[in-house]
Amino acid sequence: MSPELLRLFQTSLLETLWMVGVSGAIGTVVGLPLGVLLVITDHNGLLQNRPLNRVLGIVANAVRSTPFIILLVAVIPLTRLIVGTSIGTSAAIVPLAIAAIPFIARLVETALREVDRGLIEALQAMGATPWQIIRTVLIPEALPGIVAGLTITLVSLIGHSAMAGAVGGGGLGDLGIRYGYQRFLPEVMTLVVLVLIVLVQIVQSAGDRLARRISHR
Amino acid sequence: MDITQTYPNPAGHPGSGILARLLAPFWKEQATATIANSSGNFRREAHIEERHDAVGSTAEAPALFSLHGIGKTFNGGVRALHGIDLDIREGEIFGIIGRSGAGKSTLIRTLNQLERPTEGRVHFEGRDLLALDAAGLRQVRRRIGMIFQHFNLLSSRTVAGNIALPLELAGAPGEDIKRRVDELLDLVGLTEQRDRHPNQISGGQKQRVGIARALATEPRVLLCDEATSALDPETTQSILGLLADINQRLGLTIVLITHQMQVIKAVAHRVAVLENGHLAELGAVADIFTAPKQPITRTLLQEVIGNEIPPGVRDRAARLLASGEGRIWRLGFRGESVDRPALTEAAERFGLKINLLHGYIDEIQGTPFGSLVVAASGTAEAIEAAETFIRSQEISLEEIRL
Repeated sequence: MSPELLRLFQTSLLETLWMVGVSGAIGTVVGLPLGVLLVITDHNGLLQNRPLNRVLGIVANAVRSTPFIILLVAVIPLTRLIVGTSIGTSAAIVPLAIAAIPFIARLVETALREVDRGLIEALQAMGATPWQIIRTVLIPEALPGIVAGLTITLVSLIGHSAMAGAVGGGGLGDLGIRYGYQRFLPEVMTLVVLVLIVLVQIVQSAGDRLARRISHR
Repeated sequence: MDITQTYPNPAGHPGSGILARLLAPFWKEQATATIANSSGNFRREAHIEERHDAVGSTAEAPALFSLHGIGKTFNGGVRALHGIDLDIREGEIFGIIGRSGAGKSTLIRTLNQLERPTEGRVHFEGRDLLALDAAGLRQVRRRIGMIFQHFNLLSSRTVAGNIALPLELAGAPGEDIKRRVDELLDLVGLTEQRDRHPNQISGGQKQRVGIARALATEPRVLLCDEATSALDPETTQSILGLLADINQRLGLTIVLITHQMQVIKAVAHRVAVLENGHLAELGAVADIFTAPKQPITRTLLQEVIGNEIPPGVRDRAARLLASGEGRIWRLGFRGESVDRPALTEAAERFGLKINLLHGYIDEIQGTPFGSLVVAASGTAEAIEAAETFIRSQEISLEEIRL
């Protein structure tokens, strides 16, 4: 492989890490509270609000049922509004984050529902406010599950980022398509796939280890 | 191991009624101070004081909780409670017993409004809990500790972290929390386990953490929701011992629900018997044990005292009756009447023959009580006269017909 191609490879890897990292971070910042909201507004929740719960649920499902390649182009106007351009790595982050938010929200929701109701009741009996219950029970107790959910999200974001080439986002997937497939360089394709496998392995095992370390169940 | 061991009854201490009244203003003041804690001014001198002559359950003790016509109908239309009226007095250990589904869990939850009754009123320290807003209720809840069957400890926190939790919620300063947690760890004997997580300690230790956590904000009452039902007999005994000790040393009122009569017998001063959401019977434990009025109470007592006559004994009694004049009596003794030789005296005075069929003598809260089933034979007049005599000796007498 030529040094030029290697450099391209390096750039693509960094682009992938950047896209996944930033969209994952945004997804967590927005998705985590959304997941909490989905749980507490539900029937018998801490702050029951059925209409809000229904709306949030429908929006989350709508985004999650849109195929990512369609979402990628469908949000172009929004992307232009936020980033200023609709092409490039930064532009790809917007649809990736939008896809990550409801995904994380649902996984967080599932993790939070695993928290024993008895614990919430114990806190209520202590005179805790709903916010105190969220902060001291719901999130800390669900943290191992939340970490597992975020790990899954990162892995799936790595997969989604391969489609970022459609909006000129670059990254390893794009490199694989343009060089490996279109220019017929099988060694590039192989390398891309191998690197992605290693990347996913690292993310998954790091996530698993972290979840195990914080779990005291 | 037998869990029916009894603990000394604070009510039995002479003069505790007066003490209760003398201490009442003090407790009130302490409680007010605890409320002030939440505004950040945490009471520094807060610590566990030993009061060996603590408040016991006496008729004169003021009511801490007053329940009037409590009813609860769940959304599905299930009526869990019907018109419950009862008072829980300061300093007593009040037991609520019933089979599963009798409504006891719902009832104890109305005391801190985890369950809102659909009818009736709950007064705590004279205040109507149903009239409180969310913030007012939270303040009151800090003064009502609760422990649970499944402990409900946070797995994400250590033993010390769990005990610190209610103090953190109340906004106590760090050093106060630390000192208070140390005291509580010492009280429940878990100083060594302070940095462990709940999954690293035994069930009994978990419940001790639960108790320490419930006591952290110095509540006036401790609610125990089937606190020993998930524990083995030996551990149950040690937890009950701890509760009795806390009741005596701190004068803390304790309300406990259970389906086990042994638990009631071991620690409770008064007991309410629930059946299908109705209050079937209410009274001092010794009274309930010696003179149960309702069939449900008798059934529940069955597990601690064999009230039913064993079939073999029944057959023997039937043979005795068939062979001549006679009656089968069930005699109930209590307190001093246990020591009275009334039966011998009756036999001698009226020329009866007494055959002992079945019996036991036990002790509740320091009061001996017992029950004897005897066959008395003699003339009808002698038997009648003996019955009158025995009843005059503070012994309950019931004729059993086979």
